[in-house]
Amino acid sequence: MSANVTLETAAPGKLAESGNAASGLTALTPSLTSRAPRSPGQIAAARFRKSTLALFGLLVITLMCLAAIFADALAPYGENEIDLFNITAQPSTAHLLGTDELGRDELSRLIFGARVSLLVGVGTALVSTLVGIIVGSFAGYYGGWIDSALMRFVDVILAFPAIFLLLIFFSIQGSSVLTVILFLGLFSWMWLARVIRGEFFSLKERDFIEAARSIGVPDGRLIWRHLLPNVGAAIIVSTTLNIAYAMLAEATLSFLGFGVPAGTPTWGNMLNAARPNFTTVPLLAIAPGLTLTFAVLAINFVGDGLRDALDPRGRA
Amino acid sequence: MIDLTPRPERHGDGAPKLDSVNDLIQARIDGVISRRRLIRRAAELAIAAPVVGVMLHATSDKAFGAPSQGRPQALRRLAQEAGTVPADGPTAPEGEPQAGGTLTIGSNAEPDTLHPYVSQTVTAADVYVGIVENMVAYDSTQQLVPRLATAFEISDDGLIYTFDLREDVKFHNGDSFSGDDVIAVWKIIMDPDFGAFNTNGWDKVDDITLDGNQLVITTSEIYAPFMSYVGVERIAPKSAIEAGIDPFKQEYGRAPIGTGPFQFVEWKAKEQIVVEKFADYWGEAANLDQIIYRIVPDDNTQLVQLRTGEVQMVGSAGALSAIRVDEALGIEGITILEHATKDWYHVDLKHWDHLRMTKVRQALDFATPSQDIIDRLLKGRALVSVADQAPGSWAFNPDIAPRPYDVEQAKALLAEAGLTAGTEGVLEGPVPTDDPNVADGDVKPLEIELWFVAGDTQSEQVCQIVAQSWNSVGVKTSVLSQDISTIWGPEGYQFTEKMTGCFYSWSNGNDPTCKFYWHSEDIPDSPTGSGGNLPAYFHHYNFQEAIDELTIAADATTVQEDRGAVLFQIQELLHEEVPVIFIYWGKAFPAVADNVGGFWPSAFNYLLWNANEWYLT
Amino acid sequence: MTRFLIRRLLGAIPLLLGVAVLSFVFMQLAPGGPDALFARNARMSEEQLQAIRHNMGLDRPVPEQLVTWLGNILQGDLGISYTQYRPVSEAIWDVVPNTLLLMGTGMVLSLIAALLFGVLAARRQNGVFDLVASFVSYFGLAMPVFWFGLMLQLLFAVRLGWLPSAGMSSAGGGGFWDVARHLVLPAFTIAIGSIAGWSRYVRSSTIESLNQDYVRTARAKGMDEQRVLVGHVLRNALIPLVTVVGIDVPLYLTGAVLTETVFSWPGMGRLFFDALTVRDYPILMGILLLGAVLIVLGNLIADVLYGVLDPRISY
Repeated sequence: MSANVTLETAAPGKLAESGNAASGLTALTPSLTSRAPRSPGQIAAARFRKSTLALFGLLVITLMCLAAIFADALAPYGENEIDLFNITAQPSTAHLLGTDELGRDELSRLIFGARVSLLVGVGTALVSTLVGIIVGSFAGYYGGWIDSALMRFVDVILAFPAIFLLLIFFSIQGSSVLTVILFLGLFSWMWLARVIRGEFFSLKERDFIEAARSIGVPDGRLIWRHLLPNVGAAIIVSTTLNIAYAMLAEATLSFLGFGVPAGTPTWGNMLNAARPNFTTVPLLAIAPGLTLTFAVLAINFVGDGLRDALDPRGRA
Repeated sequence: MIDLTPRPERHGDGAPKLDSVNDLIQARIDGVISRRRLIRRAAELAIAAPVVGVMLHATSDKAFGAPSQGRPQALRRLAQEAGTVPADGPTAPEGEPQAGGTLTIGSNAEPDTLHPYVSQTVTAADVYVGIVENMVAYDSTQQLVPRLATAFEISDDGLIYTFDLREDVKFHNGDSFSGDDVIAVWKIIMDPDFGAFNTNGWDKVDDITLDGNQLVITTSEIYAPFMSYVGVERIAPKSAIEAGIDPFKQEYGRAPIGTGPFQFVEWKAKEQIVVEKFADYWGEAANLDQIIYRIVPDDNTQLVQLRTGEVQMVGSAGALSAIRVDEALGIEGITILEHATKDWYHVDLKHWDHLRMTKVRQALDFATPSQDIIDRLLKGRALVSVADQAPGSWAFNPDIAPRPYDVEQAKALLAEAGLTAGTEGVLEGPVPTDDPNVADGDVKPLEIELWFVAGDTQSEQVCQIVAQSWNSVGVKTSVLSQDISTIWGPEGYQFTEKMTGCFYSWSNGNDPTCKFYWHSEDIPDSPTGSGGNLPAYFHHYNFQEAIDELTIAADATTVQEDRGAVLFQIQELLHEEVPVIFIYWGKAFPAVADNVGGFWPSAFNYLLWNANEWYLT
Repeated sequence: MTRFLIRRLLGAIPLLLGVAVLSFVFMQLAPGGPDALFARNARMSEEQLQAIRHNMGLDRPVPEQLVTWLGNILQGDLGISYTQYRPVSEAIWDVVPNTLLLMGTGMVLSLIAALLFGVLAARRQNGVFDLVASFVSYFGLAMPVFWFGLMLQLLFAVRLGWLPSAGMSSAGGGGFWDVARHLVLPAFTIAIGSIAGWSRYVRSSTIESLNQDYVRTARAKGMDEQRVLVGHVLRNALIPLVTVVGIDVPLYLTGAVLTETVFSWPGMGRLFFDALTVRDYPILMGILLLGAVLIVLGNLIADVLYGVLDPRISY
């Protein structure tokens, strides 16, 4: 067995188990024993429903999405409504969570912050999934030198300390919500690409693919209609968990001052702004941090629930 | 020879001898003639005006050294009400001075290098001034005081400077100090392969010769600020300089050697720099045994450590920011000092499209809540600014009233400038093309990009406030940031063809000259060129001729009263035309434990400048 | 085995070369270029700027600069810092031990905690301890590292005053216990993510091996539970864990930047951050490369250990 293959085929497993924020989470839920056969979708749905945590996560996410969508109506104040006569005010009925260093309402900024945080999360996940699918499919389907070249490229990108590179990028180029989404996306597709490639390698040898190829089904159609659906579960789980990863990454970059432009309410920016005063007004740092933690927690629960529900092999 | 120690008695009972450039300088240093008398007598002796400039520099009669009457007292009263203590003399705690001891200083930045010739940071100067000495130095009243030179002399034509060098001075490495060291410094600074950060003054030197302990510097042209560059240059030992360009640059910068009262001990990267008392110092040896300069890049921690006593002093580059003072005032056993700075904070406005119209700029000034920013954001710990001269100095025009925050007046002026509400309430109107006073171009929306240097929280906050106010009068303002090198680099906001502004501070020099900021000669000829007048890069100011004339006139006038009148006019013009929105003058807030004596910070020198006089009780 | 090692080591070279070339390209794409630091000074004349550019070699053609740069790296020469005026390698080596101390302590802490929690949780699946540990580890993975650090700082340093809030030593201190006290909060901060991740890992691999035949056999032979756990189960859980540690080097690098920022720890992350604000390209490139080397090394070690420890793989 070639050593390279060892690493690469081992990778999906490592992805699932390692401590990466993007990585999977092993099951908390009791193992499922076999039941009366139903359709795979029904089985998955039933398994998902079985998991209280996943349902709880879904609920939290739904609430956050609603808050983000209806922020204008929900938030008691505007996102950038500065009030110099009310700087770092204590919580009151007027300002439930108090005000920040420019007199802006903390609760309103948390609500508006959900918008950007979720947007960055979902946007990044989509970018990374898209790139992951394209690279993974090409490498896995065509194999040969295309595969070698793409996988070497993946190796190089994985060898980059992403945090350093992203900080350099944003400090030089400046940043906007869009560039944050793009660059975070461009640094989080590699694991998915490897998973897809690995799956394709084994799927390719299967009879139904051989058959389809022999009757001249074009490559694109073959990949799209026959191969990708078989890795659908991996794609869905990876995308979900990447949302959580991206939200954390955005907060990290913004906290360091190189993420979404300052002034835009995101949870990371709020943490950045709260830091100079956090000994005197700790609530301004505690609130966005807790909100972010719960958001990520909820998404991770859902991702885990999906993994358990969609994994046809079941889990220990 | 001019003796830098004031000794009025040397003139005896009779009138002082006032027959040459040096007589006049000596008499002025001794305090037996006034500045006005010096200028008048110089005129009688037919001394050329540029030489008078040199003399004034040598006697330190500059913007900051000569405060106007009354105003400093008022400022002091203000400081006391606010709980801070004006830094108008060395701290003198009760109790007996102790011999020895260790003082720990906190700083929120690390020096780039401790090399006096290549460093670009104040933090570095704060430390190396205690280690490497100069021939003469400025004290906190901006008077020249003797260091490695005991006396100096300027030739009547203002071209030759002679210094009497101190003998029996030892460097920390055991070398003896002599004029050869100064010559070596000159050579290395002017060596293009070395790449000194600043060659000002030295580039005017033709030759340096040594005659016993007298150092004779011949210059190629009269250069007024000669003493404030060459005179105060730090002197490294010749042996270190001649070790080679690379070793000198690299090794000396990490472990400097000088003749100062403290010698370098260690520099632990990102942690601390330690200096200790130099036993063989030529002058009064230091009281303290050791000074530890701790690097703690976090304001919260700085306060925590002041509270626990882990740090006993912060100052100069590491001084408290205005918004932290209230919190620091609550710390037992710590005194918060306060002194003026030379920094004026403003939003510059690029002369482009609508911003070329005076009415639009005036409207933006009305729409900027400067007083609220000072009172609320900075807790009143800054001075409102109307133009480019420091409140308290003789050059400051006290008769200009700042424009109040008045949204209605702002809107009225914008309407007068031909702007009407367009889509989403953003004002739009024709822009000027040739004549800045005639709006005859395309109709464009009034959209301004407001920039600040990334990472500077206070600037960011000011920009947010300004942006909200401007937006409320229909000027679409977005706040953007870039890191410090990009924003001032050739790709920065100053060179884009958009309406932009940026919030930052200029730091005035010791002389109130302001040509650098406004004159058309100081418009850079390319994005990498030099010059301070960047807002006028694309179009000259619509008052360019007037400001050109006035700034030249101000620099050519040596009589202070006359010069003051011209400077007053400049400030009136700036206030009227608003090329930049003047927001506030910063103040500095060093803090020191109540048992530290001899600490006397000011805007004229760096932290360790008189560290040999510091003591603990 | 030796051949395998050599092959892997040789394989790392083009990888690092790729990283080096890409880094160089990124720097060249920067607006204002590497000399932007100097161009910002309005008082600096065009001639002075040109002299500086010449000294830095920036006036030569880009491909030539690349070749020179690569050649220098191979000789261990990372260039001269633009702001510190000394070799980059020197500036980096000054702080790298501090970062390694932080990362190393974090890893050890995390390994111990992960083994402890993981095995205990696996012993009583779905027991109280298991549920609590699971819940805690969910939080550990969801929390932003820097926020956790800030909260620790707020509670233990600012409010309770038990531990120092920043730095690596006290003024005038620097002894073992002094550094140890300063290390507690940062080490916990950098370790929190991996404690959470690794303990789950240990839990599932322990559960897996508890169900293996040899464990059943050992139990059937009447071996006491303690020895079964330590002798068989733990050993088997340890093998894959060691490889995960190697894979998680990037996680620790990110953690180091954040932890060092929050706790003013004098390490590589701080050096990087300071260099970033003044655009000290040689230092940025040096740290980027060093980070890549650490990551590749981590992978290599993981790979090799996996081979060494798992008897099922032969070469």
